[in-house]
Amino acid sequence: MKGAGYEAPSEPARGRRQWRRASSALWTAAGGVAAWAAVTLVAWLLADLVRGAAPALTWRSLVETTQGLGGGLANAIVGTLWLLFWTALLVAPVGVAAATWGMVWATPRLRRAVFLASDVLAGVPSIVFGYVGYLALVIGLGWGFSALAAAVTLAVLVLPYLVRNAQQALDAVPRERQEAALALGFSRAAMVWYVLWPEARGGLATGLVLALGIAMGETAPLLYTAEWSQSLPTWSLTHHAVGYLTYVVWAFVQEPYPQAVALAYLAGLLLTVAVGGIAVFTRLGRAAE
Amino acid sequence: MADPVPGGEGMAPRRGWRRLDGTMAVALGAAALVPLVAALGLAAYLGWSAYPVLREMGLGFITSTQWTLGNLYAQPIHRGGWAWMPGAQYGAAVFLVGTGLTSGLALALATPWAFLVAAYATFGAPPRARKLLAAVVETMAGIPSVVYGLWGFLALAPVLTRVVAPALNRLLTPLPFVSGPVESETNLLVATVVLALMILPIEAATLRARMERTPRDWLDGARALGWTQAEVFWHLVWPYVRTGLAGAMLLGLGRALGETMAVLMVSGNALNVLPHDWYSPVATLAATIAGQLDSALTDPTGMAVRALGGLGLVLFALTVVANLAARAVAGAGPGRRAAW
Repeated sequence: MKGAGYEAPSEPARGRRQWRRASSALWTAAGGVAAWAAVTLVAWLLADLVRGAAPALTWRSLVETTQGLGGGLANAIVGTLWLLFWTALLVAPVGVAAATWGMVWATPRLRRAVFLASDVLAGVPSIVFGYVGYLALVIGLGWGFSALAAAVTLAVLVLPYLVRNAQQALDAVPRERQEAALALGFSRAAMVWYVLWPEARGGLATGLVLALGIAMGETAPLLYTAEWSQSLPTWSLTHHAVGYLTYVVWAFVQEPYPQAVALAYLAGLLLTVAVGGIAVFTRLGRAAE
Repeated sequence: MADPVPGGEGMAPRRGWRRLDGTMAVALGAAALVPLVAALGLAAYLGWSAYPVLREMGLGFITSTQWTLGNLYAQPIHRGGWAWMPGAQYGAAVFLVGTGLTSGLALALATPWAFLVAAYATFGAPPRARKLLAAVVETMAGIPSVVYGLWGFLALAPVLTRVVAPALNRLLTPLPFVSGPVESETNLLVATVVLALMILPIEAATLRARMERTPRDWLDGARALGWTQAEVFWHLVWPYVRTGLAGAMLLGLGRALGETMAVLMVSGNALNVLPHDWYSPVATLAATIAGQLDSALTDPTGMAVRALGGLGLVLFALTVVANLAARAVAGAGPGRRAAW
């Protein structure tokens, strides 16, 4: 009927009633155990985050900058937002433009090629971006450890996610509206500007936020591009290292000092809450549409 | 052709749009090239960077287990037109084996697990539990790699190595690989479990999407005939899932191969030693690039950094193949988020 390689359903064996009942109970029990094992482990992880972050859960942790292995996370929080701001600025136009071209101008074959290339890029491990970002941007172009090198690296990393999300948002715009505009004599450019983008605005914004959520959780591409800084980010985009939350998790975990470990936990908790918040926010947005 | 759109309506495009059309096509088309250029650029950069190391090491880059920067205090020698430190050896066999073992075992653990979770969440669970499971799986997909590493290192690793590993050892002792001395708290076992948790949501979401495609009427009809839950699943739903299973596994594999931070924090990062059992420390390609870049930068000839680029090139090839295969088999690329 539907689906590749689907065969006509086979009849269940007409075994004895006890056997049928027992096998079914076993099947449901196995599923239940698997599901609750996953739930338990995630609950353990979240509880461990809260427990570990508790000693650092003070107002000062949020407003003070890091001093050595203690202090607060203000520099990392502001630094993360600073990097996300520039990433968004770089990736949003390119990602939306690429998806729009793929949906409006490209021939079917070129459209497939665009999204195939995007999928290939999405599969590249994040450490590869970090390695090339360091050698090409930090050293090669001489930008030094900087917000610009980090933001460019992150922007390329999340570009394929935005392209995918934007493509889905554009695809959701009713075909009739686009065709009506074209039939009225709108050029394709005008149709995109007056019909496609306004109609897809919500979906495009959601797609960008989801892509930035991925950028926020990345560590490997930043270790050698943004490096780490104990002070708040400066306005200079090159030659000034930037602090960010994932670095605190990675670096402070291995320290023998309890206050460092608590800060690592707090940074991990903030990241997890932010990512969870994004998920809830986009889910609400999708439900409202 | 005259502009057929009457002006003055505010929303109506003016004549200029006709000329803009070509400009916009070119500008947006250029943007559409960026993903391709970036992917090719990354591969080319890795290849260019690794070239002297690959040429000098030849097949040894894949087969040798020795990874040393050589004598960093000696005078560099010249081999094949490039400066090398005496005694420098770059063999990636340990990292290839580590990557294969962590990814393979994680996949073996995560696949049946994800399969059962997806089946239970779609058909077995009471409605309220379904919502909870959906939320949990989405949460798992969103937790950053480094947070899995934090929890794996500080909470899971002690439990696994002090409680689970000795218990497994007592149970399985004469068997090779699954029993042996537990030397370090970060090892293959911990990396397997953490990686399995990370790819579980990807596989579960892909499988669940397949299960959802079973026609409602068939399910209702089968239940009306008195089929049990298990019979409904294996006779009606399974044919829909079967074709998606390989795709789900390949997507999970693509993720597991390239996972960096979590593995770096829990795998033990053993250099120059092949793992001999499930409790040995291991090192993967991705984790080694991240973990060894600092010390590689101390090599004045730059060969150590180039050798890490070689690891990156191998990793790039492996993940691209896995993801393209997933795309071909399941029609789902890694670009799609694991939405439940």
